[in-house]
Amino acid sequence: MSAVTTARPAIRARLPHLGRSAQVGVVLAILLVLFVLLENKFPWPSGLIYPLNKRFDTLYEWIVDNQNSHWLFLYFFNHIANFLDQLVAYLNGVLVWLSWVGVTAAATLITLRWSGRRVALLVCGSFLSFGLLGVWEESMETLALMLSAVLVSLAIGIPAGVLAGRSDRFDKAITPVLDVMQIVPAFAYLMPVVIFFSVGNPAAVIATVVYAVPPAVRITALGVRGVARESVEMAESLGATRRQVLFGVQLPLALRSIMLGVNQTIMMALSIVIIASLIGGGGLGDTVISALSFLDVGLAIVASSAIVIMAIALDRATEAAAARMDASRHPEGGLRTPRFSARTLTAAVFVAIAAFALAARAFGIASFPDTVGVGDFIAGIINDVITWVQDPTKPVYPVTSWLGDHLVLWGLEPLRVFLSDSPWWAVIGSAVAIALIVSGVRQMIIAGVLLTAIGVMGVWGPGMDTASQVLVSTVLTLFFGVALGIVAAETPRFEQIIRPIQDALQTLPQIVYLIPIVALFSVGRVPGVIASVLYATPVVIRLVVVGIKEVSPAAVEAARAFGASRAEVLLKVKIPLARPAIMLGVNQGIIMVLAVVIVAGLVGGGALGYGVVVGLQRNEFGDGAVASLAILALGIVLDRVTRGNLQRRSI
Amino acid sequence: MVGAVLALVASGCGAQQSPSSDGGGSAAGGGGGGDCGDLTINEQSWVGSTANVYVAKNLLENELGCTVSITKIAEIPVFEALADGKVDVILEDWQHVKLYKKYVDDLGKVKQAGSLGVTGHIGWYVPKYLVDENPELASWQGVAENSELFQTPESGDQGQFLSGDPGYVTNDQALIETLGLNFKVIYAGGEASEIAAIQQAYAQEEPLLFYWYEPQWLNAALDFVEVKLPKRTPGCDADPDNVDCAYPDYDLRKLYSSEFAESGSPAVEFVENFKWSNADQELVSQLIAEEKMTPEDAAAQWISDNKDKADAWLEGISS
Repeated sequence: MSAVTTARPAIRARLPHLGRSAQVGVVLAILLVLFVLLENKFPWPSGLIYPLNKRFDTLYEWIVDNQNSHWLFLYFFNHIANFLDQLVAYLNGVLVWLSWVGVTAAATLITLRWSGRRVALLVCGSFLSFGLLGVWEESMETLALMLSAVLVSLAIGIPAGVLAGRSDRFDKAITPVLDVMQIVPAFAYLMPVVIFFSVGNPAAVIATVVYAVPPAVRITALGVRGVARESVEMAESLGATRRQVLFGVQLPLALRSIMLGVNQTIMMALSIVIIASLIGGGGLGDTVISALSFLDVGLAIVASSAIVIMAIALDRATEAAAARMDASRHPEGGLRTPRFSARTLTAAVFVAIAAFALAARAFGIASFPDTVGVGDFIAGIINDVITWVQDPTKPVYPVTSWLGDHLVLWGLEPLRVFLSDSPWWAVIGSAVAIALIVSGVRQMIIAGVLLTAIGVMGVWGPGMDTASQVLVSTVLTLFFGVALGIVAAETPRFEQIIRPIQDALQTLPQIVYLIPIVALFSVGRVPGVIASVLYATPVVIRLVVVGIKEVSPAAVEAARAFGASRAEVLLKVKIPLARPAIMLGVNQGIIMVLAVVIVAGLVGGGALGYGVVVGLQRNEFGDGAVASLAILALGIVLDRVTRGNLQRRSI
Repeated sequence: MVGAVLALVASGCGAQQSPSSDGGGSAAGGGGGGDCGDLTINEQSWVGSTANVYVAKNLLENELGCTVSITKIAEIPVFEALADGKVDVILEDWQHVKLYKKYVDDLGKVKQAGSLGVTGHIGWYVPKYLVDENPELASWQGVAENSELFQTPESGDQGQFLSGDPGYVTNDQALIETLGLNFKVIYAGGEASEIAAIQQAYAQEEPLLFYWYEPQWLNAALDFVEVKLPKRTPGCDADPDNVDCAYPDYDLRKLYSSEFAESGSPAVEFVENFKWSNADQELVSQLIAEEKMTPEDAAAQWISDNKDKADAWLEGISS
């Protein structure tokens, strides 16, 4: 960090006259000229390719041959797998024993105790809806799996986050690891996970944990760091030991952040339920995949909506719990003095849960009443709507197919040709130059090394193809995200309406809506682009809303006092001041888009995503691993370039 | 207090049943009793496989008193699952020869359980309305000459060749290169999305050249014409990068884990006996995919209509 900041003034001094966007423009203009002059003259030289995929294949062979005899498997991986298997089985057993009555009562009472009445009502309705939709058992399997994954993620994430919050050195060491875990698409590490942990619940838990740990670590670290220095210093001046400071001051004050970490971990875990099903995760993922395999999109959506409902319920519950922790720290915030002690209430909650469960057993209503009709009815309606929308004689298809075709002809294909047919050294040179202009020397080196690595691994062409898809998706995501975000920040009612839609889009598995998208936009790169835009836009909206809302009221008041209209306040005050948050949105948007690149590979997007899919599905481990690494490299390049920007602005 | 409740929960749980990862786990009931126990069958991502699995499940549970759980693990990882006993049986494998060598021959953890009786066929297809207009499109030479007919924005100045799931067995890229065709392979991503693309083309009578196979229920619903590829000669597809002939017919295989095969369960014999025809499988698939019956109901209906076939699989199994 400090090295970067000190390097910057020097660079600025050397390029004093042009603004940064103009400098980027110049770089791109040079690249364009080189493209026109030297199109296709300099493909990646075959002499500069190292057959890394073959090395991976050899490693894979060794693992398959040795996994039953080598100590590493016998005494390490197998034990982890067994432990996780038992954890999931145990939680599942508890849920089965509680029966639907007990589970619903548990969810409701626990939220009532820690999150409040309104959320408890929401949670109660959500759990009942699993039964109504006819997917109670599957939902509980998914819940057991998810709870296990969240428990393991927090057991790793919170201590690591506390460490990262207290030690700069650990923070620096762990950040790239977290980046890797978040950027490598879950699909890419399914095969390695299967090799080490076999299939089934343990593998599904591990795959989920890899994905869900980073937010737990990051948010915890942020919370611990955010504890005001005065509080820590005061405690220290009173003679508290490091340990006492941690447990007495830092952790309690960071509790709200940690709770938000739990919240994000849950959302992450739920978003890969379907993928986990491919390696034996079971539960709702199985129902969805099975429905899709016989083209019953309606049923797939009904089953997925249970995932979405679960996500929304748990999100609101943990969020409300976090907010309450905040409130309880400031008693003047209006919280009534509780009539009973906290401990009594907690005990009462658990006694009541047990009572509900036992009563359900005693009265023989332990299995949910048969309401298969409801789910089928909704699925039927959804299927009718989809059939109508897909019908080429109806007004939707002509519009979508026109849009899809032109997105390819005017956006995706020209950009792909531009990136992959320009001289390779010119592409790397421009990327390096842009990284230098935008983010400084260190990020420039990282970008240069990683882009070169993509070529060396022998996937330059697919890499540039994927880059073009990511760039087009990012532009669309930012367009919709920023526009909708501004509207949502200005009109609270609109925000209320789109919030559940945002949640749904973030947790609804992409494969569910791929079939209608394929029917509407035809196969190829477009369905992948649309899937990534749908997935990434909610995050951008959220960050833009937060950014605009957090603009200091004083600045807004001042502008109003000078007679600025609402539009002027928005354009001249709020948006410029919210720029750091919007830039964070750009950065996060790119990462989210990249996460869906694999899906694009699945539906004709080709490129690196296809390489990963083939790696898993056709047993080409080496090719899959190389494609995953290339996606990772591309992700870090894009992330670092935009993040560098961010750091500088926020300073 | 919390601890006490958890302990209570745990003991109740233990009394009810051993915690099993497959959820509710209905008690094995009815039928012959015996000691069939639990077994796990993997359902693959195409409907034909669903048909196999649910017909087998129905008979195993109702006639032999087994408890069948179903997993939906992807085609390649499922071999790992068979190897360590997480999955006992797969009923339809399209001859993943490379994996047979590893898991069956070298490691000995998976065994072949004989033929499913269904013959798999893979080929290139075009809609019948295209061939009606232009009969030469029924052969690869005709398709080669008319590649511009199949152009889409996605395939650019090449013709588009629609493929299915990137995981399925294909030689298409190699065929296109070896035969010198001007086509680009575009994957639909899976059987379901390929069907969506095919149905959309049919609704508009648009040209389409696609990878397809049988048995498949859609073959009864839409008129496809198979494009004639060059005849097979010995070794013509030995090199996967250099293929210039039609696909072979695949004798679809049943596989089980060695552990299961030696378990002595009556289910083992049933799995070995289970064998039906393309027509049988397509019938059940069609009930599921087109008539939107649940897989359970479709299987039950086929069984009650085909008592003789079902009985033959059960014959002589001590139960």
